[in-house]
Order: sequence, then structure tokens, then C-alpha cells
Amino acid sequence: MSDSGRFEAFVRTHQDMVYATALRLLANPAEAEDVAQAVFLKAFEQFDQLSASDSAAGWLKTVTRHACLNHLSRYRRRWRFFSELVSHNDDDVLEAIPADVSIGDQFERAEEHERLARAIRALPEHQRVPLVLFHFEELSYQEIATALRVSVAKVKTDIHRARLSLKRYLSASHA
Amino acid sequence: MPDADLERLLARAIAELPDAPAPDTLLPRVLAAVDARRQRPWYAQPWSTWPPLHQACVVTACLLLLVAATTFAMPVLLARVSSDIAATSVGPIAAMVDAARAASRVISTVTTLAATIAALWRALCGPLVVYASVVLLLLGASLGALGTGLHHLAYRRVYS
Repeated sequence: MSDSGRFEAFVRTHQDMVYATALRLLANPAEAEDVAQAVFLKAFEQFDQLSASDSAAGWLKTVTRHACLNHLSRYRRRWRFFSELVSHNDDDVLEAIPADVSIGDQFERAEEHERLARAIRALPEHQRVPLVLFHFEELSYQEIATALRVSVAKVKTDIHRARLSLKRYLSASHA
Repeated sequence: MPDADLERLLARAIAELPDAPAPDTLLPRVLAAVDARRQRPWYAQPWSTWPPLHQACVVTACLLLLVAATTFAMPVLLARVSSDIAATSVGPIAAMVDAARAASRVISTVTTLAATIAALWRALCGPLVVYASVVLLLLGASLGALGTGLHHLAYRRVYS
């Protein structure tokens, strides 16, 4: 197989994971696609080592996470401002998401997943990012606080609020 | 529900979430970007992708330049600059140094004064501003109430 063919196969193998990671953190499909493209271009530069490595997926995930956090840090000031501005009504954030009516039993589970994914995407950025880093990326509170340059207490508060919002949303969707 | 239970519940729900599929446009975009990068000449590509021989040549050239600069150019340049300063320091440079010193003194005085005023404000006036505002508001409100009362009384007497 040629180098191009090998790289294409490499992208095909990992594109869902890279895109999903970026989408969870950024909650914006267009931005997630941009970041995923940048990550694969970086992977291409080091493809000789990556293609022979067993930890290529881990490398891609870490690079994607860093790229997303860099992307978000461009808006960090605005993010912090809104984080303080909307902190009093964060609890109502998911009430705006319409509860879809299931179109059939066979799709119920997939639909439930889609609704949870949408609920996570609908969380405000200062709640979604630490929640995703904790549950999907399996970082500790301290690691998240360091990555986001905020206090551990703020990380815990934001994750707790995000969980409460999701819990209310999940309870409502199960009812 | 305790946060630990909520965390477990959520972790289980999240663990079942499948990865969102990448859009169909991602792969063609990546391949097109890679092709565009391949089309560039080697020197326009990232350093890490340069051929090893080219990398070695550039490192050697940089080292040679550095050695040449420190060995030959720097002493000549320093001698030239020091002679220029010696030739001109009596006139315009001395005047500029004096002006800079005077400006520095003025800036230092202004900064000290501003810091003193700010400290005095914080220590003495700042805490009193709130109380003074409240007293003034209360005074204004009571005067307004008194005025309104007197006004009513006066009108009542006039019309009665």
C-alpha cells in the first residue's frame, strides 16, 4: 500500500474518535471539523512514527484535546465573562431543549443517546468542557483545573451543576 | 440524589454514548490539505519533514554564522558604536540624557503623589462614601417627605 493509501486508512480508522472528541469539547460541528483536520495534518507530519506506534489513538486524542482547549482559550476571556454572567440561571439551560417524540422502539436507544449528546452540547461552555474532560477524557479535577487555568473548586462546582442539569434532563426524558 | 450516585449514573450513561460519526466531508478535506502540503517545496514544509541532509546543512550554516558573528563582526561593531558614542556624547546625547532624567523625576513625583492619594482615599474616604451616600439619601428623603407634608397642610389651610 502506498503512503497516501496508508494515511487514508489511518484517517478512516480514527476520524470518528477525533471528530467526536472535538465535537464534545467544542459543541460546534464546523469548528470540530476544522480542529479534526488540523489534528490529522499534524499526524501526517509525524506519520512515519505514528503509523508504527500502538499509541497512535492516544496521541490523536491528546492532540485533539489540546487543540480544542487552545481553540477555546482564544475565547477564554469571553467564556469567563459569560460564566460569571449566567451562573445564576445555569440550572435552566437544558429546559430549552425540546424532547423529541420517539418514532419507533428500534430507534429508542439511539435516540436516547442522541438526546444525551445534544444535552451535553447544549450545556454552557464552562460546564460542558470540565464535564467532558472528567467523564470522557478521564482527567482528574486537578488536571482539569490546570488545563483550564481555573481553581479546583470552580471545576467541581461547574461539573456538579452540569450533572444536575443533565440529571433533570434525563429524568424528564425518562418520565 | 448524592453527587457520587449522580456521577455513577451519568458515567454509565456517558459510557454508552457512541462516538458521533465524522462528517463525510472530513476525509476529502484532510486528503486535499495533505496533497496541498505535499505540493509545497521542501523548504516551505515544516522543519521536521525536511530531508536529514538539508536539516544538517541548515544547522551547520547557522552555527557557522554564529561563530563568524561572534568572532569577526561583533568586535568591529562594538568598536564602531563606542567610537560613535564618544564622538557625540558631549552634545545631543548628553542633552537627551538630561531630559530623560528630568522626565523620570517628574514621572516619579506624579506616581508617588497618585499612590499617596489613592492610599488616603482607600483608608479614609472610601469607607465613608457609602455611609455618606446613605445619610444624604435619607436626609433627602426626609426633607422631601417634610416638604410634601407642609405643602399639603398649607394647601388645606388655603382652600379650607
